[in-house]
Amino acid sequence: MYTQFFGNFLISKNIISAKDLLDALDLIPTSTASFGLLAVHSGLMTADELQSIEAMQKTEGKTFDELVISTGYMTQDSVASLKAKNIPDYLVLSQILIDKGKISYSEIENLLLEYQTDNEVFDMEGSAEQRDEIFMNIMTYCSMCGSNFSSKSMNYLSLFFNNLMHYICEDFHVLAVKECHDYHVDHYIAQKITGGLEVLSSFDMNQATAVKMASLYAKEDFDDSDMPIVHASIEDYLNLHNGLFMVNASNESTSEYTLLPPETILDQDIDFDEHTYELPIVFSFGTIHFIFRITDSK
Amino acid sequence: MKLEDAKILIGDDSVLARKQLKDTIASFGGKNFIEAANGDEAVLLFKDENPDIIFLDLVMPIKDGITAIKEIKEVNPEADIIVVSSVGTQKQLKAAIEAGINDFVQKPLNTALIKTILTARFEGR
Repeated sequence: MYTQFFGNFLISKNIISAKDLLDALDLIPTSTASFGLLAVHSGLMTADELQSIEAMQKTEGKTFDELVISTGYMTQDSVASLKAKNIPDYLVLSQILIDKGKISYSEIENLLLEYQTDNEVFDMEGSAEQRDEIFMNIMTYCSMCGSNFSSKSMNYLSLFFNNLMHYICEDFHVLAVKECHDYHVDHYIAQKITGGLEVLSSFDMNQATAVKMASLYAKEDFDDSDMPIVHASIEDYLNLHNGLFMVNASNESTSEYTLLPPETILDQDIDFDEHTYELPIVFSFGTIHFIFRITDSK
Repeated sequence: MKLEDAKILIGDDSVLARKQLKDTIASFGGKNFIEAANGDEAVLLFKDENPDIIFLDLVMPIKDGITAIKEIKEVNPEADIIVVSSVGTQKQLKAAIEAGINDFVQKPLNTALIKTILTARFEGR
């Protein structure tokens, strides 16, 4: 899960200029990353080893695959497994910059590592069983209601729980998900994403829970007299979460989305569209009702 | 110019984001802040106040950040604009660079990066 676009990272490190990045971005749709770079990025070989294989290719007339297997860097299975993986856009960007001579394999190996170390949001904490159970419950129920969740939708939900644990509180459990139609909101904060994935993600909660959630996120000690900034904090959290999803999607593929400004609605009846769901998330400080609708339009 | 003398415009629809950025810059010596809650206000305040540096979010109501950057650059092509946004996608970054930004800071806010940006432009306390 990357929190910063790789090209921006390279500019901030003064590795490339803004013009270098713009030129390279234009080439992404018609470019790909070499199998060797993919192997280096996956930790199966180092940049030095990659260069030695490339040198051997010139003298021995064998394919890259044959050489990495015969030299013992990879097995037939690991070659096949790596070839089946999708190539993320930041690797394609890296390859373009290597081919243009802006950066070497050794430099990119270190930069990718630094980038991931600097910007990685920890994978979902808690037990894998707990996470799988949550996802299975959501998917089973939503499928029964006629929703068809794609891998992009699952990535969105995975990041949602990841961020909830990272930025709010690790200690929660969820109750049964249910369809959400006519609903009276109390303190309701919502944001929409449009594009390849149409997303409504929103929270509804009582005032005390809103104050606590905002305090945890902003690392401030809010109280009932701070409601404007409490709402702004929860809007900011949603904006951060959705922004991170978009950055991840942008890093992994050419998917582009539009994020609309978040909004707060107080004490009102809302008639939600079909395939909107409510998932109560119970924390020690109160229950946050996660109301969401995810439609994969592609 | 000293940071304490610099006029700093912060444009973000989130009052929390404005407060956190203001607190961060103030911790390095910044004192003169102007705040805008949307892109339209940011452009108007830029014209009225002529700030030395502008921090702008991209996703804002009424007028988004990219439009605001373009309008500010029309008024003064030398305007020093830093984008601070959670939406650092390829498309947004490309649009922001083409519109003429000088830096792009990905949220959540990285205090060290803000310090680097300020140190490159202003003298400390």
